[in-house]
Amino acid sequence: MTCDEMTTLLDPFADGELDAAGVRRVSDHLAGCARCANDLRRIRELGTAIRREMPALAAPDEVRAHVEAAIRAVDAGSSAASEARPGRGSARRRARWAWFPAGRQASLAAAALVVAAGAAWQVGRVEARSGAEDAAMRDAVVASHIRSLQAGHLLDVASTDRHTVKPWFNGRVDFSPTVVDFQAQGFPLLGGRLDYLDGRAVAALAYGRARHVISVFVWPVAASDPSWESSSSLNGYHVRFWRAGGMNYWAVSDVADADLDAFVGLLKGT
Amino acid sequence: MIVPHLDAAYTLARYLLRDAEDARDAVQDACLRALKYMATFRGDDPRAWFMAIVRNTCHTRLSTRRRGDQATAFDEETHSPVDDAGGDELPPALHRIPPASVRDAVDALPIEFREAIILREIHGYSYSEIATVVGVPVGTVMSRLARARRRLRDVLGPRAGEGVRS
Repeated sequence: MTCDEMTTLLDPFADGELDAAGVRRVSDHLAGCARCANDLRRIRELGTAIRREMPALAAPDEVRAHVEAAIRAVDAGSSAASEARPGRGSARRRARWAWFPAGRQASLAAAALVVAAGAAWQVGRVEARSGAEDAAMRDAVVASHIRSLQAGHLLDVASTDRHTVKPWFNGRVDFSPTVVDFQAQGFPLLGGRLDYLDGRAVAALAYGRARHVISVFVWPVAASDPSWESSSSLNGYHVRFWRAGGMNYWAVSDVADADLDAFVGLLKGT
Repeated sequence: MIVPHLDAAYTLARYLLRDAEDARDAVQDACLRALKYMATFRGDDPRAWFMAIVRNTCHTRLSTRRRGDQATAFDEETHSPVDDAGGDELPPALHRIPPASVRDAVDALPIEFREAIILREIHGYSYSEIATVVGVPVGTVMSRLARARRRLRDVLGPRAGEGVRS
């Protein structure tokens, strides 16, 4: 491949948008071409510089309050309309949303509830899992951990900086996983990647422990799942499961049991 | 499908409109529009649907702003690479020393390039997500991104980004 061909492939390569064959061709060229390798480095550094100077922002509280009030008003408007109850407050709300057909209002109220549930929109399963499902999930988590090591696809974003890893998930999953570096405690953050478990995209974080790797999988708990924990092993891999802050956490590694417990303790403490 | 994406919506509006107050208004407008049309939504990507509404609301505001105040808009977009955001951080003289800050360079991009860069680099959206939000084919997203980056590198000079490693 020539450098000219590379110019159209370098950006999608940097953005992770090429298929496996394309990635292979670009990688082969990069290995022998310092100029293109330098161009790639500059694309990546530009991205880092943009994120540094133009960080993702939080919506101001007043915007959040305004929007939540609008959703509540839709909700209140629909019940007021269906019950036709007189009253100053509901009359005002009714007037404000009078342009909504009543049936539409009811479906909007339902939609607003889905918003509140958040995770339920995507997961769509709220019943508690059976024991068999738990075992299946554990197998899937261990398989994903092993696969990430075998395929060399450990990381989509390799960085020890949580301020790089955490925003990387922004837009790739519909929740914001907690990302903390435990370098000082002997579990350095290696980076993160996207994985697919339980029928949805989940955040996977990789931590180091000497020459071992600990994978942590995180995704939101479906609304009615009970809070519980489990600890098990499969083919020499130790597995921990817990829930905290509305998230499912699975940690998998071949480190010693005690090390994994120490690591889980750190993560729970955040 | 609205509340979880408020931060992303505000981030997009803030960097597209380059004005905090305008961004607040745009996000609120977009949310009301989304609430209004939510019941008719039939797609499979509610986030991209909502973000497209936010993006379109911002575009409407930008073109209204241009029509309503030609002189100011012209001044803002053509004459000065520096907008209000950078104003109080550095003494004015420093703004003229090249290379300009990365943010100034992004702010000075045409809107089509700017939104592609924002959605890719800050929001981390895939090409197909960006295509849905912006309403153009994936190939267009790819070429806009490549051209936007080339332009940024040209403006920022060969040393841009160096040492910005984390």
